[in-house]
Amino acid sequence: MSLLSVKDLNVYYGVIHALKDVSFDVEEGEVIALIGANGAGKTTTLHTITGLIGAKSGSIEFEGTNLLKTPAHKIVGLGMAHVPEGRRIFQELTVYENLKLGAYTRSNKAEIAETLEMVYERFPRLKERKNQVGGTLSGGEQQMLAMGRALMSKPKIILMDEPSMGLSPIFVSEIFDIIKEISAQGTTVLLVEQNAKKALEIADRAYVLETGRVSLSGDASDLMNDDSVKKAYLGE
Amino acid sequence: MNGFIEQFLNGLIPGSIYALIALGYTMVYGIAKMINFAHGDIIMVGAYILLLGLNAAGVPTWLAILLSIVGCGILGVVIEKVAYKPLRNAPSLAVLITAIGVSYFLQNLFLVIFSSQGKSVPKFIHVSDFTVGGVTVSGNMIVILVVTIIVMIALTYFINKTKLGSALRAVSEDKGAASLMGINANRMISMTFAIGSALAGVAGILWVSMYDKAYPTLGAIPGIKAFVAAVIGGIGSVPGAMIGGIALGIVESFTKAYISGELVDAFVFGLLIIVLIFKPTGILGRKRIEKV
Repeated sequence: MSLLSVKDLNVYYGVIHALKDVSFDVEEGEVIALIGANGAGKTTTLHTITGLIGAKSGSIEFEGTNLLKTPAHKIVGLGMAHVPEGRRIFQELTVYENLKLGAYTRSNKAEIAETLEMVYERFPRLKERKNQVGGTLSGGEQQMLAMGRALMSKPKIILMDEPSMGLSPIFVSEIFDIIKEISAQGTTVLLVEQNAKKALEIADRAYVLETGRVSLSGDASDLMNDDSVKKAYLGE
Repeated sequence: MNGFIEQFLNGLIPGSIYALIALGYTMVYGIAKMINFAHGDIIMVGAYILLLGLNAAGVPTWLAILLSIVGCGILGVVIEKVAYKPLRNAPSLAVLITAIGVSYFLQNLFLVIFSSQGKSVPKFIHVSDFTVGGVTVSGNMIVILVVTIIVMIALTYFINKTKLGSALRAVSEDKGAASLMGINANRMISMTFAIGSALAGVAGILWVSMYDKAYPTLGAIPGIKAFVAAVIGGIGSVPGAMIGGIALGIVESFTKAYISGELVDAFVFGLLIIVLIFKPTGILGRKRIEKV
């Protein structure tokens, strides 16, 4: 059984049919990329999975739990963390407070402290700035904070929405290296990206979304050589 | 000079009470983005619960006080659940009108039950007065100041240093992101209404300890003044509400003493207008900067 299984998902914004029968699976340990143009439904898909938007029909199963029937605040406790589009870190809270909130549903203080040390090790810059409020960080640092905050819940799967958006090329490479690292340590990754080239480079498999529909799917390496993908998303 | 200090103290007392009420306005605004116009009437309910407790045989004073505070907290939660929660996604004007409706409902409910006649509240704070350097301070004033200071310190600690406090700030900034952290936003909103209304209960108790009468429209004036204080301090800001409340009390007292007793309200609302012109976000309010 897949770790995460989305079936025939339909989502509406008012009269706009944003997701049309979207189905895909994520196996444990994989890096899955959802790629597509602006407005294709990538972010909507992630928001529906973590309960920020309701669905009209379909199902989302995570380790046998129906996520469509689970309130948003209960989902992180099941082992699913979401790094949302635009990072959405808490700007008026310190870096340390942001990270502590990532572990809000956990109660063992010693284990939380251990995870915090791991996050600081992976993002030394966050440790340097732990008493600064989130709003004073640069875009790249905020992305690191959002990732660190997600890791604080010790997730089995981490959903990342446009982690490279608005970042300088150096930061983009750094962020993708970190995603590879996170995956290497056993966390499953569902990655939404407009930077299709970078995403396909690190993904195992990928799904292409086009106006709310999955138009193509397969191994990332095959998609990278697919003529239509090359033309539409890789600029070749 | 003594006269000046006395006027300062005279302002500090209602100012402290305004600050306690303003905290409720500002906390509720911070998390639910609404002005709870029924907040002032909770003060009145608190005063009546206290009165009933003090008049009931066999109820000790501390219990009457506790019942009043807890009763107000519960009332706040119930009002939110019944009147405001169904309107969570409604236009803010609908919420505002509902809040005014709740305010009238409470006033008229108590009018029906207790009649418009003010009921006097027996003296329940027994602390002796004392004199420092020719200025006499009543025991009642000292109790009000001490209670206000304790409440402010405790609340500041709760909001800034505890896990629930940081969750509260997270919800007030971004409900969606907070729920991704596993924070139940509805529960945080209930908790905020409970705390804010309990503080209004405390304010009601302190108010009748000074002015010793309970009547159905008791909460209207302190309520609106505290709202002005919250806006002056910067709505949404907890230290702003404290500063705004105390500043307002002192401005009132000095106006009464040195300018004119009849112009007090003109000065209070004039101050509001000046703040809104020159710093629309209030003394400590600030605009949020979004980084892309």
